[in-house]
Amino acid sequence: MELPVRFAVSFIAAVAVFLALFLIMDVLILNALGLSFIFRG
Amino acid sequence: MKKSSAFLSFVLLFVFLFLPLLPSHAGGEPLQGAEPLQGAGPVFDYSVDAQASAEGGVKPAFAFPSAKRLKAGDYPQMNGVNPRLAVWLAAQMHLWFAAFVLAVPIFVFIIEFAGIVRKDGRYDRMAYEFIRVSLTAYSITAVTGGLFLFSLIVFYPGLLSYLTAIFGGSMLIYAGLFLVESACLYIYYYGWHAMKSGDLKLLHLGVGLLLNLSGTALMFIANAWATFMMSPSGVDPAGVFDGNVWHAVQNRLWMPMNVHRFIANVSYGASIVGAYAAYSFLSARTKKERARYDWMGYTASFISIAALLPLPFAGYWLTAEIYGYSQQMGITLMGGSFGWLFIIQAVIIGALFLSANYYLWCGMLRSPGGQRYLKYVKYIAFVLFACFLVWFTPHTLILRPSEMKALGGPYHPLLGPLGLMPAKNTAVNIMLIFTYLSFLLYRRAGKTSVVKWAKTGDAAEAALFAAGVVNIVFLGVYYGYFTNTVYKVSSSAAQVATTISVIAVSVIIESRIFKNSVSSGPFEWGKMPARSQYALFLLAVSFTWLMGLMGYVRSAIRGRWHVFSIMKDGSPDAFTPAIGYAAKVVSSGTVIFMAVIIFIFWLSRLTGGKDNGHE
Repeated sequence: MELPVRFAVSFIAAVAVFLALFLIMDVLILNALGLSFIFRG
Repeated sequence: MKKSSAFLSFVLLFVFLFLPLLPSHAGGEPLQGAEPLQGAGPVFDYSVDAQASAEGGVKPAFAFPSAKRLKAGDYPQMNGVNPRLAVWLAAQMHLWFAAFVLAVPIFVFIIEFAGIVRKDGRYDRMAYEFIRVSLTAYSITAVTGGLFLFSLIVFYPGLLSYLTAIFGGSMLIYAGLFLVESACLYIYYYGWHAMKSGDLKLLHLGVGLLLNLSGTALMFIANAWATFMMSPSGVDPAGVFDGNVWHAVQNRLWMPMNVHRFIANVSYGASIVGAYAAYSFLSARTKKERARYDWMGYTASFISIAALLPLPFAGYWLTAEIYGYSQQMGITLMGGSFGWLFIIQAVIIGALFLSANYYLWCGMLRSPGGQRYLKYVKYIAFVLFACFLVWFTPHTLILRPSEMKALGGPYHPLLGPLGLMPAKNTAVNIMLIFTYLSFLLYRRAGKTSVVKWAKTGDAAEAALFAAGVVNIVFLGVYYGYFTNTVYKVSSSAAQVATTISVIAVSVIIESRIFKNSVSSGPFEWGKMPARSQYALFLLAVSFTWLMGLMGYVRSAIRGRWHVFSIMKDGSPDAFTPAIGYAAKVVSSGTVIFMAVIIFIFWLSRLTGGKDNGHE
């Protein structure tokens, strides 16, 4: 049982890290194109 | 001594070959003594020129004619021959063969180089066999090129005369480059065994490089003529040329078309030699022969898919530039009468992805370690099919009033949004990521990791894929459906960046996990079911068909113009044919091309036995 738990914890932690990195990348790309991350109409 | 004289002869040969290309005066500039037009810059200033002419100012030595207003009488007719159909098929045949013979030397050069670096003779033998197939096709390319040119001379003299007035110089350079390319190809092929070691091998590689440079330059020149007809530059509204050929070459669609065709040609050429490998695999009589052609087919499909991955982005750039140049052409392209051809395109591209993935899944059987990953195939297949369905969901349906009433409007309430570009962008990016995943599992099949943190690495990699897909869906849904058009287009750049990042980071993690890995069992080339080879055939046929259909759309969006907004098509055929007719023409062309290609495969196999004596 130990391995699947460790796998799940590593997986969730890594998803959080990668998602944060991808969102930062989105912000940077949109800013470079003159747009803000949140659409304001 | 022998090597030095060979080198000297080689250098002298190329000096002579390049002599005709040396400019006798500045290429593309107005002739003898003529000053450049006043005010003529990258964008031709018509008002200044008109004023200068009116005031007796500076005039070019040679007055370029305006685009002629062609009438039906300007198009020679021949009983029993439809001019448009003749030119269409000749051009299409030439493009298919040209794409093939331009692409093969590119990856043959890379494979030969890899063989030198890895000191592995198998690469060299494979590269040689690839180039042998393209050599037979080379003469047919020249024949179809001649057929295309003669069809234009016979049926469209007015258009050809106008284009020649502008691009005449570049046409001579084209002919010169063709000579250089032919010389390089023959030296490259026939000198393969004579220049197989030492400095001569490097010299051989140099010939390969020159072959590719001349071939690519040829394509760039021909692209300039084709793109000038779509987005003319260097001419005034009446079609009067400003005298600088570079202005006409550097039109808005030239570079996007160069990039798109270059990548597409590599992908296409590899798919054709992949079909050759499949043909040879299926007709192989010994285990050794089957193993050899299996490896060849794998390499070809790998190159084809690797080049296919960036192709949608190059296509996206080309399309954006078409829209940028003329909204009318852009809307005709995807929102108008040709929109439905893009649905067919989506189905064919889906077939390409599915056949490529299927081939990789079959490839897992080459090693006993592959069994570990077969359980994931059904999930990958499900995602690919789901994306495939989104990818070809149409937006606007052709409906009867009763059907529209039953549907509650022109669009399906649930599936309608899937017909928009944000959904397609999302689907294609996920398809790319999952195709890469199939490749990753295929690569893992023969290896077992020895590092302690392998499971954590797997978790990190699974998380990378999951986060990547979540981000792509977020970008597609939020910016695609809850913002404006600027956001819709811009967010696709972030989607592409996500796909590239997932693949790049995964490659790094994989290399660490499988550092010093051990084999998971004997890897057997040739241990492939025969059905896997039909996936390679499907790849080649789909590519051919796709190129024909999309090539037709690209050319036909000019509508009733020979040269968009400059020179009208005055022939009796100046109308856009129905999609069904166009599909039949392209499909007939595909059948003819594939028949000739199979003939070439057969010819190559005939000489193959003799050449194998060198191996």
